[in-house]
Amino acid sequence: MKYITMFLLLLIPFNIASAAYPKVNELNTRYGYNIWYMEDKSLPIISFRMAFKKAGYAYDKKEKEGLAYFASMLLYEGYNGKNSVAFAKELDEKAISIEFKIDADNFYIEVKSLTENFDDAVQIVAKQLLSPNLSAETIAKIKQNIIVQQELSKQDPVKIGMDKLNAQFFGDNPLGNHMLGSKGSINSIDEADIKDYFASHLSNRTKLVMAASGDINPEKISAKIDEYFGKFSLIKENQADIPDFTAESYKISYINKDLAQSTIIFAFEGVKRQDDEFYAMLILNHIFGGGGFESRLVSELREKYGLAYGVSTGVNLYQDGSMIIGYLATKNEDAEKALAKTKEVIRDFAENPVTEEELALAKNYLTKSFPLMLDKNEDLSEILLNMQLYQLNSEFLNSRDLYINQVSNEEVEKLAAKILDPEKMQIVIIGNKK
Amino acid sequence: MQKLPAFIFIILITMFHVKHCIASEIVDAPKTSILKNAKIDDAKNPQSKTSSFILENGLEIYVIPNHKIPAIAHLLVYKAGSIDENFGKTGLAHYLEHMMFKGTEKFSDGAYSHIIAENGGQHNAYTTYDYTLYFALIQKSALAKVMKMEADRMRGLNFDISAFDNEKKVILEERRLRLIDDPNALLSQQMKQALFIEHPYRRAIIGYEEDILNLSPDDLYEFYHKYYAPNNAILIIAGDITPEEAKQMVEKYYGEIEKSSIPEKKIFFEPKSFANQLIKLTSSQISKPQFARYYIAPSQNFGKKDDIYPLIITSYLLGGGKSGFLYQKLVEERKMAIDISAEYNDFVVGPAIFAINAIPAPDISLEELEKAIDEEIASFLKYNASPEDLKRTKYLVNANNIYRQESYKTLAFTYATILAAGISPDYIQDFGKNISSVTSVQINQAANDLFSLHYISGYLMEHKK
Repeated sequence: MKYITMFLLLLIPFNIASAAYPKVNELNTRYGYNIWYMEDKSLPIISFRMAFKKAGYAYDKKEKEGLAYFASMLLYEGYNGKNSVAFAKELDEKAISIEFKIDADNFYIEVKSLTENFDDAVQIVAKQLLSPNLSAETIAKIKQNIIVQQELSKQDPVKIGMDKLNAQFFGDNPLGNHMLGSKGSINSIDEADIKDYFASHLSNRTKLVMAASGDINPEKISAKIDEYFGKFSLIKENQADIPDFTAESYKISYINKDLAQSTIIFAFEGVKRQDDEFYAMLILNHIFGGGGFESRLVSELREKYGLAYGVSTGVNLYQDGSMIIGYLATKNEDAEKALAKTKEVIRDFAENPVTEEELALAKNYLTKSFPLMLDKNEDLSEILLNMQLYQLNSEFLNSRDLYINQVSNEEVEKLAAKILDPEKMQIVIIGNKK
Repeated sequence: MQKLPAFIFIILITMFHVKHCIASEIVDAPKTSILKNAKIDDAKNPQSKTSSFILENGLEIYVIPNHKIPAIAHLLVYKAGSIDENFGKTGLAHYLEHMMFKGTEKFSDGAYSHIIAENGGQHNAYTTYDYTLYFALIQKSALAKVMKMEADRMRGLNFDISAFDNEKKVILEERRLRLIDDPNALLSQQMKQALFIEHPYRRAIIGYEEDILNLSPDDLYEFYHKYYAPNNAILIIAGDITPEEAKQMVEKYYGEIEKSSIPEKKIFFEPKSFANQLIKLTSSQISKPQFARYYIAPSQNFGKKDDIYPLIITSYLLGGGKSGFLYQKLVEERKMAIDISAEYNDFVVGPAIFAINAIPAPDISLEELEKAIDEEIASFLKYNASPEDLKRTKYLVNANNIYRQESYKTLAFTYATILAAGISPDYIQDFGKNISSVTSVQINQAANDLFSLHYISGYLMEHKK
């Protein structure tokens, strides 16, 4: 049986390419839009991505929490004049896929189509952003759907735990906002709020970052972007940054649920993407719990004691910070023991420093695995988008191995002492305490 | 087994739009002749580049070149799964899958994982009703090492008793995680138990707790020696490799393994049922009621084959997301559901399942929703797919045929799933053509055949305090 949880997907550390890649090109349209792209003409496929910066859920006002997510859901309802069924048929007819996603920081649009339908795909996106479907009926439908999603998320121990952990970890900082909002905040969202969100974020080119990969014709794509996105506004708003946060001291919360297993979620504050220690953090995470059977947590909790089937850690990256987050599930009777063993593994970094072998294995994995994940156009366009969002230069892909290989044992050790601090561990346990 | 990259599942979903991989087993291996090179004139047919051959010991090999990046997908399928377990031994096939990572006479416990990790690769395994699949996604330079180890553990498994005992605990945790504490999985399991009267698809692949507790290393070795052999396996190698290179390497590592006598496959029948049943699962975990409906449907090896392609299109037309008939009627027009979809997967040895899943709108009871679904199914049966409906669906299928050539992994898993179900590899080659030739009359006939059968409904309900 397969072990698939979306949680593990979330835990895949963000890291950026290596080895020999197609050339990173940059094109500037006549209207001044900038797109990073890679060419691959082997198949008639194009993957195109857009991000609108500072439009994620951390920018939702507290009383309108869930607004960014609301906007993303609304876009699936088509655009002015095309309801969701007609819109879905329009996409199916041309085998176009358009997805809308958000995270704490940004709003993302992912487009995939055959070359022959790419113009249509871009035009549809422009119609959606410039004249969304704002009928009262549609707004009511989205409200209802999001409230149901809120209810569904209360049945999943991992989601319950993540929500609690985020709130606990970030406190009043907006990074602790709930992506789905609350029933009250979702019900309070009206047409004016949505219009305002679209105007200030989704049709504002000062916030827009674009990337593409596949069967690209630069002249053609330039012309189409100008034609369809030409009406985007150029107003630069003075949007406040998310305030810095500092992790609180040790805290553990229990959520009692009638379950056979206890799910334990824990987190530590990590370093920023821009920090020199970023690569040391990727290595540390790999050795700690990110590297599957080769990691210290799996070998201790699963292989030695049989305490858990799934145990892992990962890096959640934000524009201006990160957290190392861990997950395990074990039968209720063993919850305390599993947590104690996890803490032992953490403290052990001081007693038993990272070995040469562990370091080499982590470096090997992190450098060699990355190119293997980049076999589809959407993987490549995603990397190009993220490189821009994190202000990495276009040569970055070829330098990444070097950045990883430069990290020393001492740096990993130093970082472990700094961030894997048991006094600052944040823990949530969901299960049956009896 | 370990963490599984979710992309594999996504691949399977996007390929043929099925979410429930009930999986399958072969009754008799397809007797493909020596090196078969298909035609390469049609760019829309990725499988045209696929070669296949059989070693003297019976191992079947499929090579799918894709030179975009220097990566290889190495998939080994054993045509043995949970349906091959005897009474009282449920969970055995899956337990063995776990133990396959615990070392051989030549390689120690964990060596396999270690070598793959060292080379930046991913590996995992999964057990289905009909087969067990082991895969590695690796850099080309690591292929020889991986193949050597995979071939070695086909016959050389040798684990110690403490690893066996420890893994039992891990498996019981897996069972809690994925069955007991997951109400959707539990409902689905209980529904299958009602849907299939005799067929072993009614059992959970992971097994009953009581059986798992009683399994011994001897049970595992017996199953292993019986079914893990070259003449009961299919190897798929996809990626940056030519058929000639692959053949040379495969002969070196797998060629020397001796064939063994594989017991004849049991063919399970499923008697006709006469009553619909309602399964209600209440759980304190549930905060939002959900509805499911299962029908027994034909597969490539079971039931009325003529209905398969029409049913694939039916699943699209009826419940393929927001453009589907049920979504249009029940979500958009009648506002009785928040979401509704239909799923059908014909890649199984035994009977397949056609499923409908729905979430009721607030203030709509599961009973009201079920009644409305039945009304809409009845109106769908009177409805004739329009030329636009057919054109849209067929275009999508053909576009997916192009999309799935992007990754070296996609076709590898598609082949594995199909071949393991005992379906001819021509299935992939002919899929577009077969879908294109479906008429609205055939769709209507297949839908009428399906919906006149008995069914199981499932209600997932909040625990009333």
